[in-house]
Amino acid sequence: MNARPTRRSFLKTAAAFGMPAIIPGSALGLNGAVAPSNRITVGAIGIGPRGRLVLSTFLKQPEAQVVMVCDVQKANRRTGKLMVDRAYKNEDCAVSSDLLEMLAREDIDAVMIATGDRWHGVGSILAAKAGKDIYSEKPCAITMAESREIDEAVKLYGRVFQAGTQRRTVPNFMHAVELARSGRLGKLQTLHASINPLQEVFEWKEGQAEPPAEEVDWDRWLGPVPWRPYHQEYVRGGWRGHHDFDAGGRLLDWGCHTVDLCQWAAGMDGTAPVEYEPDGQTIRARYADGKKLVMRLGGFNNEGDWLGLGTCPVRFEGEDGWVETGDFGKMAANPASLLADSKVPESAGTDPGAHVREFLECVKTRGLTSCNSGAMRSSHVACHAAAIAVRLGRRLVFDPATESFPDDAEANRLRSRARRAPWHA
Amino acid sequence: MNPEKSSSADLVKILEGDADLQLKARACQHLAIVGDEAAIPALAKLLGDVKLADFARCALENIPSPAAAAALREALGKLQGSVRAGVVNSLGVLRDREAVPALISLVPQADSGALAALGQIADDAAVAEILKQLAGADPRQAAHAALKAAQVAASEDRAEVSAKLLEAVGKAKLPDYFHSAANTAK
Repeated sequence: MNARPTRRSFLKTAAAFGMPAIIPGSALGLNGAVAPSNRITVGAIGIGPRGRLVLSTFLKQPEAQVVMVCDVQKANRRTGKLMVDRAYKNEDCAVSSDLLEMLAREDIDAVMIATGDRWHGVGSILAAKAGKDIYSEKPCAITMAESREIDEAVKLYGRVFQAGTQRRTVPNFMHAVELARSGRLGKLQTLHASINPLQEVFEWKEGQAEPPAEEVDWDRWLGPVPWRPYHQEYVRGGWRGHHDFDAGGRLLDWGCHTVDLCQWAAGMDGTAPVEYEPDGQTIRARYADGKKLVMRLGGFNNEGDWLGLGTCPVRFEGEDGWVETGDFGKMAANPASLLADSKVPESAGTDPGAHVREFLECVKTRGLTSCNSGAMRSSHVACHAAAIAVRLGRRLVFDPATESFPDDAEANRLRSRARRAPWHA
Repeated sequence: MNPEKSSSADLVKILEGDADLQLKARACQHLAIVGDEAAIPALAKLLGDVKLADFARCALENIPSPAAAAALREALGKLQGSVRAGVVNSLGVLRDREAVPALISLVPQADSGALAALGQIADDAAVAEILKQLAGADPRQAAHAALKAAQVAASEDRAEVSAKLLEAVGKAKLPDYFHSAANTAK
């Protein structure tokens, strides 16, 4: 029998061999729309506040079709299904509390992961091993070792990966990076990355009675991180800052964005600073070529010596000038002439629209996203190295090639954590 | 007492005393950073405790002593279910070759995680078992293990072993992306 290839089998084959795979609706005479049978099918994992924002962005993309939502909390599952069904004017969206059920579906091309930090890494690795492309919220990895594991799995299984560090596709940040990379600031000297106030809580909240698993599946909520007794505040967002649940004592909350932008501006994707010196809430790092990277407070309360251009500010300083920008979309520079020909539209650094569209485009073309797994790995490694220096309260020397601290056994032991059974990568 | 500020010896005292669950868990976590060989017996006793076993493994994976792997091996035969799967994971992380015969005996129990651990260890016996499982009816888990083992073998300049594993994945009845992964890894 000479069976005609289905869209699904064609997409899988194309992905395996790096071929563009989606036939745009324009080619089919649909005036730019994409026929449902030719859309990229997406499963959404984690439908909390951030997950709902990213899910709503996927739902606006004509080339994507969200077919399933997954969350360990019933209320979030219900909200996710409502969002999807309303968007498509049907009741087709499947729900599950088990991401393995979603990953087992061969008709799903890509997943969006927007759980808490604890699940991003293992979820991404399991998705790669299941042959799915991945859009993962940040921080993507809860340890330095997990950053490497994700990158290796994505590359081995040939997946498209986009870290949710969307400021790489927000115009004002892109323009600031371009000024640095083009040499218009002169030889780069110091890059400044804002971070949130550092916090690492080891104490557990007093245990409460676990709700029925159908309402909140506490065992699955914990997933790969160590067990502790249930408390409702954790599942309502109060997990942040707790050592077991948060990556790097909150340094990665914003460091994933701002250190990532500094790495990009400095041309340091693929490597990381070689020295980290903590000083209270500031970490001074240095690259092998002498450039400095300063991670310092610049949180929601406008802490620190920034120009007030919005949250997540970055500043790049060269011998001939500097540029600073933040989430309001505005930019400042010296000399001001650096921005004279700027036509950058003001837009919020939190909008993932362009980032999601770039991801979907790369799923189609098998191209490399802005925040691919390699770029994610280097910026996460830099952030984790800084967080380890803060944890130990001492200057650390780091070897980016081996991702290890040559002279500090304790620092090396902080690079990974055993995962709670049965989860492994 | 603040476990995050304590020495290895003081943390062991926490584990051996009447401290509550949280204090013992945090003691294990800090032993992952500062623990020495003398802490291993106290940690090993926790490997069968459903609530504390993963914390103990966290420390045992990090203590630079062959006695840590020996303690995990000894526990392996006494445990079942998730605590055994955790020990299997740790033996894989530690790449403990002496555990390979016991791990091979666990392969028929799919939830043991033994194939993944064998992929991480990737010595000749582990590789032989993975190749055998690749010929089975559902070779996906074996294929994941084979791809990992191939990476390990390549990193150890065992090019022939790596090639053999990748060739076997390439020929197995698997979705295309596995075959592509095998090509990528070559």
